[in-house]
Amino acid sequence: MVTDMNDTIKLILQLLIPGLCLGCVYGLNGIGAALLYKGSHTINNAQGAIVGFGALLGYTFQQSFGWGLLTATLAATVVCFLLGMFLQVGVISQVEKKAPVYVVIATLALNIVITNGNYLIFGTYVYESAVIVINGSKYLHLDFANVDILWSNIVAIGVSFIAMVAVHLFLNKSKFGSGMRAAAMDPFAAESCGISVVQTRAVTWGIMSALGALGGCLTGPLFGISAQIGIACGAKGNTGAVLGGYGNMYGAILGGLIIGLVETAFGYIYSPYQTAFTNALFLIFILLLPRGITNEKAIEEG
Amino acid sequence: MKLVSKLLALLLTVTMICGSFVAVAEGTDLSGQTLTIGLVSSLADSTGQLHQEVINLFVDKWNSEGTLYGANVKLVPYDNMNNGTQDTEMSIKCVQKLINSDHAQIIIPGQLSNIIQAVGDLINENEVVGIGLGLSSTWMEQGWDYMYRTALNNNFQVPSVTATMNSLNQKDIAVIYANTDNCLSFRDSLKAEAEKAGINIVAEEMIPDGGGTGITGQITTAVNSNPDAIFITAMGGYFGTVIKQLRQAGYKGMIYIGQILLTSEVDSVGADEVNGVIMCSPYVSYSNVEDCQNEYIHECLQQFYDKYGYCPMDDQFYKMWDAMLLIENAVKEAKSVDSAAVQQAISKLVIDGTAGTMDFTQGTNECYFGARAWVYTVGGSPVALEDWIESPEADLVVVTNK
Repeated sequence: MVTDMNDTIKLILQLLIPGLCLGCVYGLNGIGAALLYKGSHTINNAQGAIVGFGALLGYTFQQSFGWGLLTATLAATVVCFLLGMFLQVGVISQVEKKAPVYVVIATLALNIVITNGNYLIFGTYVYESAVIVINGSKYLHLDFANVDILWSNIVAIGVSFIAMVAVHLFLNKSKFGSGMRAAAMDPFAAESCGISVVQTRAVTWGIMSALGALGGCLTGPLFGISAQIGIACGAKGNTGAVLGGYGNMYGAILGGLIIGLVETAFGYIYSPYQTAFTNALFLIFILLLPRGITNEKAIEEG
Repeated sequence: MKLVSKLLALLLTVTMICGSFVAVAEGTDLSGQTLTIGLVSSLADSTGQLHQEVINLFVDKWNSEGTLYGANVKLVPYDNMNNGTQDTEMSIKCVQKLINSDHAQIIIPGQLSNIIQAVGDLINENEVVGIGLGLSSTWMEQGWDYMYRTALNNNFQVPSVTATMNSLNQKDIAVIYANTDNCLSFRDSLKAEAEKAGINIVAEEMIPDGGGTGITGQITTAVNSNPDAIFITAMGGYFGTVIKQLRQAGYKGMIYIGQILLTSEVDSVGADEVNGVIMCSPYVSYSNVEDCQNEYIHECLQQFYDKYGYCPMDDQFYKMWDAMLLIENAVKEAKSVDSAAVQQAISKLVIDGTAGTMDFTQGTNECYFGARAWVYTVGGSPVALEDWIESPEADLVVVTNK
């Protein structure tokens, strides 16, 4: 009986920790999607490509400069923050002036350009990222359940949580963050109060890209790094954002966690329908709860 | 005297005319004719680039040396933009253009069985010679007279997999498969062959096409089913991701893979973690030319290295190399670049290829019929099973769990 209980706890932990880790990565991508939608009522179809670029860039920093995983991740995150700002100022804001629908089309085009750029520059292979080792081991052994948990999973959850808190503090406690929120609520009023909507939107794109790159780099030790990894993370981040309530960053985190856990659970229960079940959940939310778990009204306002 | 001179002149003229006929028959001259080879592949990625490089290596040699009776050979490559998804619609458009606009006599529709399945009818109906590099048994079961394969059919590979499992007393096997035509066909063949061989399939787990991230549930199920070995069939390039997760989940047994493990995948898993990964394949991937001990393959790799300055590590190299050997020998045999003549000639061919003898005389449009077992070592190099099993490295892996 005790053995059965231990086996059950072991199984739950084996599924829960990686599921939470995936959920955090999806959540990071969902935050970007939520901020963007709240701020400019549009979606970014290029997020997955940016995630792939960020992850591959982090890997390149590790290989070319011998940087550790965390240093390389930080550097890739900063570069992608700048890339995101550049894309907003150089491309998105230019097409936005013509018609809002062009933004969606432009992000589709950016997705193709960046994805193919990733293939051309980095190739289509899966690369090995450095693995997180603490006290000489890749695993944290939990005696009570006799289970080994990868440090890479735990660090990914921890770093994601820190990033989420940092974004929360930035938006709520900093002057620029307050400006971003104001610009998201009413761009014209914000502009008349001296807030640069161009700047706030550029930073929104920067944050979105940086969080994507961070998520991409964190998945590296677990799944290897490739351009394709970003496509999955970006799409599921968006799905999580819808589940949580599109436009609500806290909902996006929650939605991402749900997607990660549900996907892992369905993979365990009956793998042939894993993708179908996960997407059915997405459809159910769109049909029955279009405002998502947090009852976010941004979609209707849009 | 005049009569004698006239008779001599007549005799000389007749001799010259007959002689010239004999010369044409013996020394076929196709100069002025063009052989167009169409390629449909993902040109933006490394696979498509490798495909083009191998073809161009041969085409340049043929054109400079007049190998194909002086015929000018032209490669027309089209990008099916197949990066991660299997874009069959774009591939069909490419093949239509190759047939209708470029008048290609030979079309190579790449390595993805789904795509070959989609374009095969079109190629066959138009009586253009098609050479597929995919491994699935399904498209070859369509009975297309004009479609050939220069790779090993999964169905022919599976008996060597189950024979190896039996030789290692591995009776309980977990199967992890991707949702593609090739992988489903491989899974079904393995299940059928395992049943005959008395091997139990204790878990069957599907992973999304191309691997992906959310496969923890599948990995947990497979490992918890306590198998003697785990068999994976996935898209080329994704074995590394699955092997890495199996090892990270604490699985220490042997892992069978349905295709060649690329050197890049060995790197992605980590050279130590691949110890005990076993594949039944006609060939293996080498990091550099010097590592290859097989004289024939070494020569092929060296020719490629001399032209492009790097050693190809993808098994697409071997499959495309064999496709080029097939074209060269078929045109020589047919003494024509006409696709019908080339098709007729192929059925008579028995030639050397990178995986041994390519025998097209069996009437199945296949040329290879068997594989051998290779095991990856701690350093990431593949060795023959019989050598590995005797080595200390075999002690690091649970060869049989029970």
